[in-house]
Amino acid sequence: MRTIWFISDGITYGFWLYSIALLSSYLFVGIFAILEMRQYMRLRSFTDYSLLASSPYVPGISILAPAYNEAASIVENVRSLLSIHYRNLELIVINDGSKDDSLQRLIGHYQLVRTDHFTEAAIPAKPIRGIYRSRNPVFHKLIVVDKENGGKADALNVGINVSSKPYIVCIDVDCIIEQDALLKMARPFLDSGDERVIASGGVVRIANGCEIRNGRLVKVHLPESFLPRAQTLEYFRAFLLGRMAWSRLNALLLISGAFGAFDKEIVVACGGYNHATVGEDMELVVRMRRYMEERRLPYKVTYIPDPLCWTEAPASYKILGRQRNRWTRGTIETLSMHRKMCFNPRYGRLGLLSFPYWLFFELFAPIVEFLGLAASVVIYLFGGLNLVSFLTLLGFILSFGILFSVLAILMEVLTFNQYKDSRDILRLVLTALLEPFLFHPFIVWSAIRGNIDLLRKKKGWGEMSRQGFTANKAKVYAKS
Amino acid sequence: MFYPQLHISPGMPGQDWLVLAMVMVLGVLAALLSLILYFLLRRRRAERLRIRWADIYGRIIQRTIFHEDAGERDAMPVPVVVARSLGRPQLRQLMIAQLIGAKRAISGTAATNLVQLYRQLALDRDSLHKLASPKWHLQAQGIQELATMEQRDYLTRLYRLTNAQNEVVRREAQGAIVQLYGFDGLRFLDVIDTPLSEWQQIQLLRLLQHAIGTPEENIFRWLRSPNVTVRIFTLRLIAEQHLQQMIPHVTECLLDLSGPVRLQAIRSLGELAATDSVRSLTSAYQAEGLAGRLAILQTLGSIGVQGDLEFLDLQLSATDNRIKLEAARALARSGEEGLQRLDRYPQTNHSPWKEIFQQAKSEWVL
Repeated sequence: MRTIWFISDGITYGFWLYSIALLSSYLFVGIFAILEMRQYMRLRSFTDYSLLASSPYVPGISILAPAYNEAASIVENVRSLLSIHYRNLELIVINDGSKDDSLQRLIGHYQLVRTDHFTEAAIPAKPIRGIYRSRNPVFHKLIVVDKENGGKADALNVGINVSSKPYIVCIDVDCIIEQDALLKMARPFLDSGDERVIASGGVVRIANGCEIRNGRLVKVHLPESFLPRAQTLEYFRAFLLGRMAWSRLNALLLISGAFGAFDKEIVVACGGYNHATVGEDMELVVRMRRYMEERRLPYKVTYIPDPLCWTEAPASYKILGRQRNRWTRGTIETLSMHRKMCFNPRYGRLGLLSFPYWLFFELFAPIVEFLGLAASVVIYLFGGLNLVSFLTLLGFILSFGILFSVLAILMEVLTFNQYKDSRDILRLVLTALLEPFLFHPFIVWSAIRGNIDLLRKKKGWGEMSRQGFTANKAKVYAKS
Repeated sequence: MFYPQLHISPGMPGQDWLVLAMVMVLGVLAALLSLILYFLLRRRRAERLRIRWADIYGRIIQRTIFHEDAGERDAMPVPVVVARSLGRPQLRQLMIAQLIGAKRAISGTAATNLVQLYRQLALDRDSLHKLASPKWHLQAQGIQELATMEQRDYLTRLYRLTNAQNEVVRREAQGAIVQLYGFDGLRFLDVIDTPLSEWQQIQLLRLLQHAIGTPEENIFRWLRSPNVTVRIFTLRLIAEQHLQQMIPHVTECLLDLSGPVRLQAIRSLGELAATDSVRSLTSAYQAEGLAGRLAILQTLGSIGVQGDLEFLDLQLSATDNRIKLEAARALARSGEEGLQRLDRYPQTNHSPWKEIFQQAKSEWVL
């Protein structure tokens, strides 16, 4: 009996310590995010980004946009990307062996002709079938690469091999990029000082519900349906709080695959994107940082909180579940590949702070939460649960979660304030109240499914259907 | 977001503590919600005010721009209601922002009129107030305002800030001096011991775009500055200003000890279309690393190497394919003879030369 009590108390205290550490980490994130955001907004208040628009000294940037079965919207998306303001730019669209007529549509619309293009395979990747450029000088920035299907990581690696500029910006072709996005993304690379900026992350915002015309975002609205709205709130927390805080510590481990800029020399030196994981975006950043740390080279990974990239969020539980399942597997794979870094003082803050945070509070959190809930139910059934105390604790945890969401909303209101209609903000607050009951449990369950799928050695992305901004259905990266 | 569920056993902190913690969290939550509401209301009111007055101020600025009566220049016509509105700090800031925006877009008499209006409305006092602020971002903003509105009277105060501890303030002050005094404002390059960032170099080059009277003596001195970034900036300045007479000095920089300086010297020679430097470039080639060699080949391609195609021909047999490609490009760009050399090259039908030559030729055609 004593042993049972000992184990029970051990588990209980373990949960307590874990919870206290987790809540403390949220406090730290909140405080650091506020400090970093204040610094950024102050600098932004008098920065004239148009300075870069006409300068011949801006660094060359290659935009890499992998596309798979995007025929429905590819012409429109490429038009949007070609309208980005930046002087020294090339746009490389990589057709990753699409089964639809994406390539034919691009050839027809942009007057493409197949060209002889020598490509040094600096990073091993699937073969290129052809490289196309436009006969029309208006589209001189556009390069279309047709290659055998190999997945997003492989398509990006081909793009890196073909690119000729010193910096690459990797994006999802279906994203809407603000026209001044590259001017803002280029700034950290120009202002780096002694530390080399090896990567810069951008914010991804939810475009569901927004008015989009000719591939451009015309007006920002909050999504009508609950699921994308809850994701809007979730992205606020992730981008305005989480990444901002880690950026202040120069300990960012993740740059979203939908929009990130990288120093090509370091990417190539690290071997490019990894095919062996579905979390190739996070894995690349971790590998690049590891590369710099192991060589004792001073470096920085920066982050731009301006809303520069807009994407369509999954609008159904089915698709959202697949996405989160994949994110979980990608995180586990990445942390497992680089486990050597965990608590390793050789990697500084990265090994001692950032990596353990991801392991304990991003990866383990859904598992602990799921097990905690299951254990509570079992203990309740055996009559061992003090229901009043349990509900009080649950109330505390829920209100803390809501507090964190409301802080993220306040940050949005005080900074970029994209939702001009006050009712949108109030609806977001309401979403924050409902989210713990209608959204969060599903996210936890999807993460658990991700863990199980990884144990079953499931690979691949899973089919990701999207409505598309032009109301045409598109399927992206439907492998396995 | 994670919501842990815990088993509460008798050994755990008391329920009272939990209730207290929850009340505290709810209290903070209520405060944050109130703040959201407050800022939303404040922003809406500010937006209404802005919409109402931006249009009126716009019209005043427009009238000022087209104001032609020289006799009245000391007193730009400003309606009483507008003058009264400027008693409110947020409206003064709105007027400053609109004046700055308009001033950046125009020059000549119209710009002088705007400067006059700025002084007449005593808006320079607001900018000076910012300059005196302990907050770095306000100081930087104040510096920008005074420089854009050509307030040379405050030179001493601005000059003092070129040594400010805060990097952003220092940079803005240096930019302001350049904006006000053109090349003379670059004096700080003589003493600067911190690096000039790429951003600042771009900023300074733009400010100097329309400046007149290049100080050649200074440029000569800056090319020998112990600060590597000053040497790089000077090389860019020479190219940007098309100072052909400085080509011999730029060519000398091909022997600089710093790699980035040599790289910029190569590029500047390309921008200056310095055909006389071809021999120096080809001589410097062997001592350079990959980046330098590629830059030399690009420069040779852009300025043309009619007399030295043999050099490019030799580079086609380099082990690095990037060198082969740049050499082939330079040959293709040099004209008919270069293209013939590509066709006559012994390995012209073998990989990777075949693909490289085809790309070089097709780029030339496109």
